[in-house]
Amino acid sequence: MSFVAQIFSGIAIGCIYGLVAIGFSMIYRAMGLVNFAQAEFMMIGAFFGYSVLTAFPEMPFLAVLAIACAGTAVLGVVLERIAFRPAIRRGASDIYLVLLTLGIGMVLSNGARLIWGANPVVYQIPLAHDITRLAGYPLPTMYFYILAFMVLLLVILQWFFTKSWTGLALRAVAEDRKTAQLMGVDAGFASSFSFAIASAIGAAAGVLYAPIIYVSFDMGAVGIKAFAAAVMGGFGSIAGAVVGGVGLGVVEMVGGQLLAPEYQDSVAFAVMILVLLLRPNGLIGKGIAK
Amino acid sequence: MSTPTPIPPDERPRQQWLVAALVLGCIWILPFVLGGFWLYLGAIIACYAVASLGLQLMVGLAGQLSLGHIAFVGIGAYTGVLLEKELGVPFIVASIGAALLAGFFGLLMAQLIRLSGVYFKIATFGFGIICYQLLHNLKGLTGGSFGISGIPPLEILGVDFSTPAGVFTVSAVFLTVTYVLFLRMTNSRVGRAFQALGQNEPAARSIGIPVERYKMAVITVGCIAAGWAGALIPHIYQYLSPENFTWHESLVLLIMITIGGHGSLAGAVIGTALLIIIPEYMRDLAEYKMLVYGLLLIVSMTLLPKGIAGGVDAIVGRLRARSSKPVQEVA
Repeated sequence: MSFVAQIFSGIAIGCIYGLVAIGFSMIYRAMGLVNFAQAEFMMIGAFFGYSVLTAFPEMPFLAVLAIACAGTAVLGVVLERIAFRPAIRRGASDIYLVLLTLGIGMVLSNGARLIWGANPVVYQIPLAHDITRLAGYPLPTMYFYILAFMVLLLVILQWFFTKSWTGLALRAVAEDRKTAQLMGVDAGFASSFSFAIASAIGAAAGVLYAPIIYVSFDMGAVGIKAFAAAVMGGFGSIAGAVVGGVGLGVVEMVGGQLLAPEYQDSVAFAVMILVLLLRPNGLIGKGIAK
Repeated sequence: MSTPTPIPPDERPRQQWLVAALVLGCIWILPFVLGGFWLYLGAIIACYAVASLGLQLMVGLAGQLSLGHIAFVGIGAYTGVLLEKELGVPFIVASIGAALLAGFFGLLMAQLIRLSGVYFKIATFGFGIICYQLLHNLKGLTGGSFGISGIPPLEILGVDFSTPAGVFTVSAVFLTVTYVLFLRMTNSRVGRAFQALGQNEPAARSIGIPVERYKMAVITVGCIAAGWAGALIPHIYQYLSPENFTWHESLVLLIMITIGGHGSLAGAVIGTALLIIIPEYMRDLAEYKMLVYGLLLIVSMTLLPKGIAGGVDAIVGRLRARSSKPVQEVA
């Protein structure tokens, strides 16, 4: 495996971390909530995609992606409504909310095991085996899809948060909930909407990742690293999530190769702790005002 | 969370000692009465209760949410076993060594408290995962995924405690000592500072509590308890494997203290007992243990936000209010 190919796969995996990390950051910004179940949305999204593919094997990949995102977004909104919103309204403490998200994550991953079984499943699509040559190096075509999606998503999010009314309203609520409400923004809608987008982005990460790896109920473990990515980049910042994700992906690939592959996860977290010690607010971002 | 139930300060410690006597009494007597398998189960409960008491002190009392507490149990377990097996150190000394090393690592991690809030949680989480991976990968020292077997028999001052009743007795002593020490600590000046820290950090700082120092202290104490409990684990299971220390186990510890009651020492013990006994009755459904735990967590938070201990407190409070009619108004 050449160095270039390694870097490139690091970037691709990093984009997956980044996508999940964007979800973490969005919900944090909108609700001040660290949602540990975010990674499980990615897993659920991948399984939704699998179910769609099993039912309609001929369906184009992009349609599968869209359906999985929509389904997971609905799930996200439902959870926000029945679990998080009542707890926040009751003024539950930070620790309580974190535990709640952990509980929901556990129920989602073990629920998925109940529904789809404990054995990993594979996406039976030609895309999973396609190889593209980049300057002579063979790389899975999926990597290019992931990169393209990431760029597209960033452009859309940038437009959404700076130009669209809904995006501006979300930012207003994130900035100052009470004032935004006085200005006529529905804060409840804003948090549901944030959950919907965050879940959908998480699901997209799952579906994009699925052709490269096996889909299983415990693939949410990837989300742990996505979390580290979000923290490294600067929690709550979308650009930070992407930078942290890609950075982590590359560092992990290179570090794993230098040490030993079984230390890959340790490298990720050691780097995260190091970054936090040197720059407590993350690489990008002003940190969390609290 | 809502304001704590106002109990007159002079009454509170006495009530807590009564509850402690009740809980510890049950732990001590029931396994001996029921015998057999319950001695083994009782030992596990007592041992994990020591660890969850440490976590309760950190999370429930002082508000420092650690997502990697099992790592310190792991550090204690491996330290204890290696000291005993490789160096022939007697159990009591090895267990103290295990506790101290875990405390040392806790103190090291506590250096990360400069990362407040979200960042501290993540750091503890990362710490837990790094620890697990080290236990898994340092094959020369820890035996890797094969773990360590051939645990030396539990022996204290020449007396053999390696029977089920013996192991249980030692675990119950560990639990009693920890519980009593922690109860004394929570009602002391230091304990009140911890509570102030947990309830409102800026306010605690403003009344002159050196917040950083107390945070470090409570984290270290919590980790020492975890390490001490860890030293017993290999003697109960007769085997040590990194799989006992995955991050799910950290979650289980958190669920124990949450279901038992946030901030309550008795609650931590009750929660631990429940979460260890329940899976024994659903062996066929072992795969769904975590699903049940997750549901329990969500349900207990929705119906009993203060856990079992909080629920019992509320009932007792209501009964007392009814029996002694002229209720003293507590501001």
